[in-house]
Amino acid sequence: MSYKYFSIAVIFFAALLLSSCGPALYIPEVRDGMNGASLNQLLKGRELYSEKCGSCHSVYLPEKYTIQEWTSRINEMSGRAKISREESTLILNYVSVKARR
Amino acid sequence: MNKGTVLFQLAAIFSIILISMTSFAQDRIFTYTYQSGVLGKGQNEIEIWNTFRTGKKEFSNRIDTRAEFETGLGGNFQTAFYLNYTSKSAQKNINGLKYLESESEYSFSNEWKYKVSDAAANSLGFALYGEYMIGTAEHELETKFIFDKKFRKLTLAFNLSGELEYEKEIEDNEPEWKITKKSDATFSAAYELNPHFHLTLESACRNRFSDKLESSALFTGAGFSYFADRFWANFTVLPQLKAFKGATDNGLDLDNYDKLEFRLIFSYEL
Repeated sequence: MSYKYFSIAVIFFAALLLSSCGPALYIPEVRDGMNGASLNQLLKGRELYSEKCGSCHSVYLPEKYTIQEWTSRINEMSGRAKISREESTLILNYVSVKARR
Repeated sequence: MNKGTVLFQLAAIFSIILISMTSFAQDRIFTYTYQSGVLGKGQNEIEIWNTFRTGKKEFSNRIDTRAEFETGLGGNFQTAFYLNYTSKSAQKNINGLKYLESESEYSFSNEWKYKVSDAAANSLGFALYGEYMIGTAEHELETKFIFDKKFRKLTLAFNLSGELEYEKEIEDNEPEWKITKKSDATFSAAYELNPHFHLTLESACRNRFSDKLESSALFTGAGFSYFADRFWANFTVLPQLKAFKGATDNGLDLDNYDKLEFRLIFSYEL
């Protein structure tokens, strides 16, 4: 295979793979309701999580940590990221749905 | 390993022990391919890089050690400072006489990274990257476009980079700066076996230019990534598979590139 065709193939497959599918961070659906949180609250939690946390560092998938770990990490980070208590609760509700069991 | 390398690594390890800790380490999985993630504001990491290269046309071994201090600036910005140490030994031939030449060099690098979109929250992660390196006989400027994407167990990353290398050489008894242009494309995939362990596959197409393409070689290898709270370590073996241009031995370019590379990066969040 020549260098030219190889380069085109690599760039094509890389672009195809990287742009396929939606985001890995789950988008809440009705069946995800938990702990009394409504779908709108979960959606708001995702939005806050992406904006407040993702504006400083890569967001972590909810499955990465347990609810206890998320609680302590969100408490720890809320001061630094200027996240209010209300916003922390919405973010915690969102990540808790898919947190590691 | 010579005295300089040992002292250099001891100094880096000692600086880790001296500083206190928080949480949330960066999830770097690959050793050669960069990902779009940046550290949060106030987060700091120490990374120690070791790259061993061997197998040129004539005997040649080289170790590059980098001690990196990485810090998150907030607003999706991250910067890092490196102390680099290079030690190499190579066979030289002058008037039919073969001898072994060893040399070493220290240099300093500074990188800047800006995350445009996130690999998990957005459909495609994207970051811009720039780095300069200042050495006694060599300076470098490098830029990268970093793309990545996270699926549940799978992470893909793709980098396109361009580099200008200025190297001091003696030509016709006169010192002069030799400029080399390089362009690399790297593509990597990682599969998560469990929350602490990834298997990785990395591929790099490296190219050198003067007025036109002078050499081009494909490297592909495998490795692993281990992550534990504030610590991670990534390792990759990267053999040269094929030279598209400039082949010297059995389809490989062993003038410009090595036959085999090993890279180990370990990191600790401060």
